[in-house]
Amino acid sequence: MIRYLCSSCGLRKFVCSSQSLLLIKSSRFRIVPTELYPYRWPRNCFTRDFSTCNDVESTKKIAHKLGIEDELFVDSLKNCPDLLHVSSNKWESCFRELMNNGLSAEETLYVITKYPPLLLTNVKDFSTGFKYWRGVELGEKNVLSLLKTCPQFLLVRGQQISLRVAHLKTVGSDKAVVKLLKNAPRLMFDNWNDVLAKLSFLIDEMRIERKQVLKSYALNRDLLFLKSRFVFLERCGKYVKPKLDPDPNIPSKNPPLKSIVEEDDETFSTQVAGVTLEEYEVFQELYTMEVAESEMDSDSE
Amino acid sequence: MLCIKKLPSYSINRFLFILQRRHKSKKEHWAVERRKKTPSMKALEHFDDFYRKVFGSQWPSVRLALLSPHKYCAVVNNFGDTEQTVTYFQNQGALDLKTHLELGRKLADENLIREDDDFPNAQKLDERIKKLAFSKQQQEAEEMYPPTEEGVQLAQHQSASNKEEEVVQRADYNAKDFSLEASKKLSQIDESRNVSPALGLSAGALYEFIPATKLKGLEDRVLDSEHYSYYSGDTDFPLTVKKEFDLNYPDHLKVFMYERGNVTSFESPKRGSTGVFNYYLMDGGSVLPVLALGIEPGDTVLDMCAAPGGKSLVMLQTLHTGRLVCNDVQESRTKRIHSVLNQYLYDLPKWKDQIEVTKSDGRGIEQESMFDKVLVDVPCTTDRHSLHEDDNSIFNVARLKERLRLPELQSQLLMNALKLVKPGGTVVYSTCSLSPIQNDGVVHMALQKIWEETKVEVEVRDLSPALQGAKSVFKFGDNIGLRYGHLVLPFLPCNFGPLYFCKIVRTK
Repeated sequence: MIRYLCSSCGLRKFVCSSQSLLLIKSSRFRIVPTELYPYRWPRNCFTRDFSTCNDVESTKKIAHKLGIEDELFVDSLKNCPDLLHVSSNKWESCFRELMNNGLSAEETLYVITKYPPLLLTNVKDFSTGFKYWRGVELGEKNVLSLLKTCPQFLLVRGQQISLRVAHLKTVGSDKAVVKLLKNAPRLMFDNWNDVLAKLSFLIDEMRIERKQVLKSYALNRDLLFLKSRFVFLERCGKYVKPKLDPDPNIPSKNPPLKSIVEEDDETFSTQVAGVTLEEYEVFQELYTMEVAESEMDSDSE
Repeated sequence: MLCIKKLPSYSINRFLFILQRRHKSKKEHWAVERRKKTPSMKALEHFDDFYRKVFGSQWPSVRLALLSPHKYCAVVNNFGDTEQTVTYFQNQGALDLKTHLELGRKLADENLIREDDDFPNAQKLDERIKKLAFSKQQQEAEEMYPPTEEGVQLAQHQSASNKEEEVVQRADYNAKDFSLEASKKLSQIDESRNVSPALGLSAGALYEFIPATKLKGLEDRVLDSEHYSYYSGDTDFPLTVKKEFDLNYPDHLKVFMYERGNVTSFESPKRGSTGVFNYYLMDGGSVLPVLALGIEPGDTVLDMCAAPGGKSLVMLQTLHTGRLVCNDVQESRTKRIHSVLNQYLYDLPKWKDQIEVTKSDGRGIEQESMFDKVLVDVPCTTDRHSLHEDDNSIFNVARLKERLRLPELQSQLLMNALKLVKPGGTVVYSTCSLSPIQNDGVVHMALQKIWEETKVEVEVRDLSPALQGAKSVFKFGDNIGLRYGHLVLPFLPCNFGPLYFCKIVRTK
């Protein structure tokens, strides 16, 4: 059973029957990146495909043959025991394919430990994935480092890769695009209009420097989350929109974007905004209601 | 961009008209971006400047609550479908204020809430306001003498002369101690006033020169610093403060509110079987001044600045008022009182013996020692309202003078209220402002004047012990250094207030 996300409505769907898999082929659903929705496989998912569970020793031998140190391999198994539920042949073919595409043995182990669904995929899809990623001209080094950080991108459809990277290139340079995708992998799957809305909110409305936005984790968040954090800070008097022509000699008193977006609720409310967590929780509730009301008003107009 | 108006699919093919929609650019013009400040923006700027210094680290929390949606309480109308309304609120999960107070008191007893020591904080507050007044004076001097070379010299000259004056006052300087010769020796010639002959002015022209002593329009000017000077920290009159341990909660008063952290809002009130509304929605804090008044059966009560009539209605809901006089200064405001009473009291003309709505300036009411209880809910900066409404805001430039002189008006109203109440009667002074000048500052001024100018003797009642139970639903600004009254601080989980109230009992 794998978790899929509807591309139009954001509906999460658990797929395990062949009939449901047809939906994926019709491209309405796509695989959700692990960073957003940590996977949890039922055991039968593997035993169904591979009749017997793999033996640790045989896999260890293969790993040794591929040039992976035993200690590193055991550590990886500790982190991700599910790796053992795949046949040794599959292991080998998957490793060889990834190594053929420019990853070292250690990098391959890291990538597979990070995103185990790769072991279930047809190995031919890897080379296709690599081909598409090389085709978008981000630079070989950049592509490898990106795929190492976000291995789930290997399973994204080619058309989607080219289209999304083209969109992202309008925002920043090749290097910035890679950094942006590493920081915010959901950019690959989000609706582009939603991404634009987030960029517009941060850059045009809140007047945050484009550089800061591209460097931060901000775009991995929902627009509502971003708005609630900024509005909260504005109401607390801790964030003041910078002037259109700010004086470079006067340093800004606003907290950095990183601490606004990346801190957890408690640290954000107490240390960044200077109030209590209770107040922030109540505010979130109120703000969601405010947004819903304003949307209803605009709909009725 | 072309778009087609939503039509049934069969009709799209028939219509050839394509409506063109004009899309406005989202980006505002720079002139719009740099638009003039609205009164609400000015209010926020003023509060940031003033209250940040008063409330210190608590200000972000208060600011957040002020700018967020308000929390209301529902006062059940005893002249409508009372039982049905009470059941409805209970089913909705709201709790009666009386229950809140009892639960809060139990909680306070169990937790043994620490009493805040007000004295050191009160001193700090005095110092903070003094500093603020001083910085305002400096700011005004800078505005008057812009920082050009001449301006700096003038400002320096002024500050130097001020310092000299201080030194002179402290040393009890007496000019007569010096002879004319000695003072001539001590004096210096101001060479900046020498007129060079090169300028071509004749001696006659110099004799005709009359130096300017006043600037036109300056007589009417009210300085910001004057407003801050209304707050005085020194108490040079006898003052008695007595603690009150119980809040006289009337049995028939039913006020429903949701617990702390619950953001559920009440629906708009509906008319019941008698044709009047079943409940009245108001700020939860506004009930406290009425409770502080402690109305007893048969009391004659004056609500000096009653509009829109919410607090008067709460007084009526206690079913204790013998006679209630609702007064306000403008006709439009008395009309609002009438309309509220009409909406909540069945057959209003029959109430003429019990309720009277009058239109007069509270300062001019001359029925001395007539009332058992007087509520003085004075006109103030209405902090929350000023941040959300621009119409007729007190922070409008046209109302600047009125705003800066509010403390004078407020203290006059309170002074008159102290004269109007019978000996043994109670006056509650209340505002919906956070400003210590309009709150404790005004009470202090009124107490001082009443001691200086009349024979009326009063004592202030400290309600802190009685309000222990209310801390479960209200946040009080106990630790900011208040000397006379109590302040309900806006706090998001229980977003009531701001509301200041002070109970004063006339003893003689």
